[in-house]
Amino acid sequence: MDQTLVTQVLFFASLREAMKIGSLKLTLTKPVTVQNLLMMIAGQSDRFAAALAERELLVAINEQLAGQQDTVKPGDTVALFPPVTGG
Amino acid sequence: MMTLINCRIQTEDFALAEEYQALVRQDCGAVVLFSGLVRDQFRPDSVSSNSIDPNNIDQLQTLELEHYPGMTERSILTIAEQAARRFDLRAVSIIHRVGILPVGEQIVLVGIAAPHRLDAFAACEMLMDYLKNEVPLWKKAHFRQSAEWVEAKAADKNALQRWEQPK
Repeated sequence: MDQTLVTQVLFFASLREAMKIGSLKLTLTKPVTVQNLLMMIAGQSDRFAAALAERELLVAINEQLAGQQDTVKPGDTVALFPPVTGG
Repeated sequence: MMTLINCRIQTEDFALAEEYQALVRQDCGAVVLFSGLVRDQFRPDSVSSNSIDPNNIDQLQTLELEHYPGMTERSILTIAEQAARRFDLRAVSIIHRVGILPVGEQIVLVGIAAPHRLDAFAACEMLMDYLKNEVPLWKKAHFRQSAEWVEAKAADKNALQRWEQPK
């Protein structure tokens, strides 16, 4: 039986402001790459597409920094954000 | 040798004297404390204080610090453990403030207690370099007339290279 789990995607800082939302939920039926996940989100609205396209993005899967080719599994928490500027 | 790691994310200020006392121990000959502050900044140009025309210059009021709760603490612990594997350290304290911080406020503290100063200085620098590149914190600069997210600096990214070579 297929197990479908909700994948939460979080946005921070300038990306959060450009998206005008702090998070969204996606239902994945199978693992996808980060790159595919970005395309799925960009496909939801022109605003999302523009927000994701117009800046350098870092990604974390389950609170660990990851790359565009890494795999997101159903149920994972993904965070997207611009390069960090703390310290 | 075990290293005690203390990591806090908080809106409140911190007291350097207290943090220093918490790091001091009998087997350590060195304590290094670094504190980062919100510094005065002006737009469009950085100018010296005696040539400001108040009509043309926009002055920084506050920095707003946003973070990713959970991952922030986890990534700070990770970099502290990396530093503790690389250098001979007995205690590490990292405090990062979040929220709205006016000019002059303390933002961050990195404190190291080690038997010898070379390890303490190096670990402190390494931790600040990693804090600026791998911990999910972002600064938004609120000026009198405008606000903008601070851009990551290439110099901060390049600074990581010195830690990638073998010791």
